Amino acid sequence: MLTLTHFLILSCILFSIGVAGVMIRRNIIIVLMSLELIFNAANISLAAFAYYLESITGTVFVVFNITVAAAEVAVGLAILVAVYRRRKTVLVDQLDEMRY
Amino acid sequence: MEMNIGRLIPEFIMLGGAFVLLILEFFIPKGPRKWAGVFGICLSVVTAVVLSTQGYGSALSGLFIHDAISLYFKLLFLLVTALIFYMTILYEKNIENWRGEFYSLMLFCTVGFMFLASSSDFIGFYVSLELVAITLYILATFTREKSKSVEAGLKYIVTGALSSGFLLYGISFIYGTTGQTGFTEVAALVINNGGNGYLAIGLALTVLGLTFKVSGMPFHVWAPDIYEGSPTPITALLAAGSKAAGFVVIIRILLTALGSVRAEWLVLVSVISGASLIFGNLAAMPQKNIKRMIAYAGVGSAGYLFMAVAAASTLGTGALMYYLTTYVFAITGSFIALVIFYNSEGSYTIESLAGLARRSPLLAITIFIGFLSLAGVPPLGGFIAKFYIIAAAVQQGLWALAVIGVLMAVVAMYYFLIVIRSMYLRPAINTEKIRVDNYTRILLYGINAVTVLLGMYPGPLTDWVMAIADTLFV
Repeated sequence: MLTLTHFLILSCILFSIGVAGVMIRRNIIIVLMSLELIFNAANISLAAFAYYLESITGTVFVVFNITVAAAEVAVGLAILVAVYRRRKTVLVDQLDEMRY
Repeated sequence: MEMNIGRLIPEFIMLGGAFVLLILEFFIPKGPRKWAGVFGICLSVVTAVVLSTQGYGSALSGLFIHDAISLYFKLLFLLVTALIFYMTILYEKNIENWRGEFYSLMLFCTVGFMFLASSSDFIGFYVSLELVAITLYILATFTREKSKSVEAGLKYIVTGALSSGFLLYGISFIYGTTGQTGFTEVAALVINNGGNGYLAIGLALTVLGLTFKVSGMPFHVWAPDIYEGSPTPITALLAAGSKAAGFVVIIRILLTALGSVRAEWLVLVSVISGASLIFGNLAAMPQKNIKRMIAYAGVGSAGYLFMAVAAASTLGTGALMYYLTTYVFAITGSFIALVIFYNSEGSYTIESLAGLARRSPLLAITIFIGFLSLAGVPPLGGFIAKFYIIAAAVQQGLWALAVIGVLMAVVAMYYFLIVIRSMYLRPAINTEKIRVDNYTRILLYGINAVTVLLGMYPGPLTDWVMAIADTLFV
């Protein structure tokens, strides 16, 4: 039997993996994928709450989130292309022109 | 459950203007677009006039609310937009490959700010926050042939999306506790049922996510790099607009929706406030680039504003609004002066400002007044604002925060005075005079006069903001 807690643990694991990915990985494409993971962790948690609370609002929220996340990633990839054209790198630690 | 679309007319006017500029872009050859800037300024004025005739009430089945606080903040945002459009007209020639989308994206961003000020539901709030965020990501990267600008944009989108993730995850827990997303419904349920573990997690994550918009600790790391790398008008928009927009939603979420569980967020907000104050002001001291210094000073300002939120009283909220108003005038005034300086000199370092007082007394006095107001020197507006915030903290017994606030005001004096010393006491490397055209001259005189007036005669504005703050705590 799946309970709310199972879903919340799943979303918590995904969220942690996402945050760790953003913090640790050097490749920006992996960082953007980790960000997607964070958004989907939040979506799982919202959908699970909506199901167990028997309320439709959470489900509607998930649909909005998916749209917004798609827009955000589109802009993110466009910026990544601009960065690659200008700097010829996709590694985070080589983008250190401005520090402290 | 009624739609009341009529209440959204001011937003629709701005949105319509943004689309008109976007469509016209197809038909007009590339090149300077000064008229688009003028159009944006006129549009802001028209919207402000229409806005002040709107009645209070809610629309879109409770997703949107127009009340005293949203009116105040929207007028502030329109003021910021008009001033920043003017700044962009001055800055235009520094952008190679000029594209008119710059102006329409700024209008979209203002629409996002206005919706944020009116949001009364977590869904509407999140979508308008992302409208602001995504347009700002594009604007920060706009000068994409500059290596610093693209780097700034990428850093901004990664940190921005990370903080949105925190915010969203936090909202999901608040929704999980209450089963509601409307601020007033959440407030009613929280008063009746009190908090629990989920609500505490949700609160902590939401507050952490919101610190990003206002560049408070711990999501402040983006601020210096993005301020330095973005086109200057966008730096000013981030400093003045984004901070004000962040705090209006913080007021709504923490004081309206979750005001009854203040005990649960008080410690977190106080720690954020103290840490931002100390870190921002100390890190600003060794900076060589003015935009970077303002970014760190902005982290310090977020500390003061969080102190006002922690006080959670009429005085505190009124002081927050007063602070943001003086902040907007100080930032836009000094940035317009900096843009004119950059146009002739091509540099933002503190050393390059040497001898500015002899090269252009007006620019020097504008930066002087703006920075002293940010530092909180009497008799300027910034002093009154800091004074009210610290008074509110003392009134609520937040002694530790009040002491940190006073000490850090002294530190802030130090680094702003370095700039002022450079302008007034150092000999100029290049003694050529900097020309300021007449419109800009009048505008700068006006902004300086307002900053001084807010400090010398704060009565009318204080009465107004305190009356608005009173409506939050009935």
